Amino acid sequence: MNKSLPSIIIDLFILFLFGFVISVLTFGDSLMPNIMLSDSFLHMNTIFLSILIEALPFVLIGVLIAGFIQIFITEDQLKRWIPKNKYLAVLMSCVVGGLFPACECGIVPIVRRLIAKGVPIYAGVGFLLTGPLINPIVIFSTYMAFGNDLQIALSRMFLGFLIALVIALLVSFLFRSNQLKHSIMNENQCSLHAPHTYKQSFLDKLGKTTLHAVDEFFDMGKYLIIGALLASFVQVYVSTEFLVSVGNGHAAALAIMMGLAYLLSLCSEADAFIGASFSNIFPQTAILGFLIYGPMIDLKNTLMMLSVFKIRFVVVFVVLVSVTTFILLSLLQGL
Amino acid sequence: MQLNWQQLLRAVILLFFTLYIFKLHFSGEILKLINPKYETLSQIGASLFLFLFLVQMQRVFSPVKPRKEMADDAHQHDHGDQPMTMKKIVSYIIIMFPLTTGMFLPLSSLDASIAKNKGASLSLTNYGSSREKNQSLQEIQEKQDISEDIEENDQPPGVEEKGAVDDNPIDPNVFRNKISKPEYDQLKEQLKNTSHLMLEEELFATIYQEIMDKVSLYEGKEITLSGFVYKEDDFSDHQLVLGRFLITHCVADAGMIGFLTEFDNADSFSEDRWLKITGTIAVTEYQGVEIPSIQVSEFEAIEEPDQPYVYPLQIEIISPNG
Repeated sequence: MNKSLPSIIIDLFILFLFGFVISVLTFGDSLMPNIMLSDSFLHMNTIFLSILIEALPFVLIGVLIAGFIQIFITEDQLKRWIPKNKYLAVLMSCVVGGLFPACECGIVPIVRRLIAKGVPIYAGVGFLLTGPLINPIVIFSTYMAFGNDLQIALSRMFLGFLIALVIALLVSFLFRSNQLKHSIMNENQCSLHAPHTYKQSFLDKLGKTTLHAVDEFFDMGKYLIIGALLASFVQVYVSTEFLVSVGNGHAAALAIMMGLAYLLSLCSEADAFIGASFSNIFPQTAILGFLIYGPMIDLKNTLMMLSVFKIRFVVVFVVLVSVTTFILLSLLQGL
Repeated sequence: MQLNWQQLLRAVILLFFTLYIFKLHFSGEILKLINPKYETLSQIGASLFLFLFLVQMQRVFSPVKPRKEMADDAHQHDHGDQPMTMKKIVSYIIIMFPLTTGMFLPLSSLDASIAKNKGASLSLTNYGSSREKNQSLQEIQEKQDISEDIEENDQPPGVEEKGAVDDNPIDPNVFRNKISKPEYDQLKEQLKNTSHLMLEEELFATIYQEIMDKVSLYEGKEITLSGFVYKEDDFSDHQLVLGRFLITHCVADAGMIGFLTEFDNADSFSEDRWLKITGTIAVTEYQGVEIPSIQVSEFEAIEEPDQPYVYPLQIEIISPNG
């Protein structure tokens, strides 16, 4: 694009920007306003930033993988890999998600890219659900958090897989089109991505992968930020004890733990300890509800999905995941 | 050839993220946000931001597309080339929001009010009824997962034999927050034979868990620990909880772990005060459940330590030597 420009200008400009940003960051400290903000607000800001700082590396890796898929994998290739049969496709997407060690922040941009490339919505959903829920790190940390008790870890894995399968199947019956926002559907026709037809050098492709990642970050980042802000608000201003006191009985306990999982928006790799701390208050199915529902969908994740899918789909999806998880776990309780 | 302002804005935002994260690392403030175990990962994140920034710089000087071509382009997908709209201004403000609060607001340490909100009293009685259950907090991570170098070797050992019976010296590697499974089992054995438990930062969570699990083994032993004061409404005047926040990933998943302590002056310490106490482990009934408690013999008020949080011990399944 800009081969003609002497690269020295860009280099100088980069240096200048470094100086600018560093001086702003240094000055920022001294400009720290002396307004008295309440402690709870500062806590909320701290928790908000901690969620972001923790999530950003995963999101960046996610957008880079998404950029990679966009540039290097063609629609034809994807079509060949995914089974024509709907049921087989759902099963395969859930298995692939289970093998893929993603977390819930990183997986949204990847799924978005896959669906934009023509992967059917139900297969994308299967991948989205099992990706963060079933992977070695999550299962291992669950195993440890529950006192080397394999039962909970295995239940989390198998029940989670089963529930994800059911949800993906339901999605396949309910939705035909890809449910992406219009702006994303049109992406494939635009100049930056279209020309797979003629040969590009590997470096060229790599550069485009990265530029894609930048665009993706700016598209997705704002939703991640709002999600993190809401989750930190809940953590500081909504009392867990209050939630817990709301209900007794199995159904209420399950609903409360699922609600908690949704609002807290914890990383699937870090939620096991929190879940375990409730294990003497609530029955096991309620704990499983927390462990299975949280990785599939939570507040932060819902916001990120809004950057990808139509609002109507996101609403239906959240309801679908909630109801399915609730009913299946309640049935299990009855057994 | 033209300077593209919007691409420049994007580049500057990416650079701000890069340098903000690096600044957190340099100033050590990152410890107020995440478990040091994830420091390396966070630095990789910052490096990725830097990389994206450098690539983005290629677009800053690219010529703006002629307007006519854009009108033909039916799609609205954003590469940052289209003119600024209200909607996009809002997006950029949202993206810059965490940078602004991060720069201008001080990071706080979690306190008793957060513990209360997170249901600290629930975790107090949590172990009561099933304390023989072999639970443990340790998050095992396979070795290849994330390699990290935590610099905390130079701290004093966490377990001390009173009277220094030195026939069982503890491997210094134990105190890297990362130990192998045999070392871990050995450590647990040593705990049982120790008459005075010292809860230093590295082993706080491990020893806490041990005592909660098998209080009968530890009843009557001496224990020394420091933490912040936390109180429930139904505590008597001589009761308070001395606890620490346990951070698995980041402070969003913090949970308070602590012991119920009993001594005459407890009512003179308000919440969030830091204390160092020594006492004897006993069993007390609280809300109808028997829970471990500490009968305090010595106490002193201390300053909040630089690193107020504790982290789960990491056990390596695969030994470092393969």
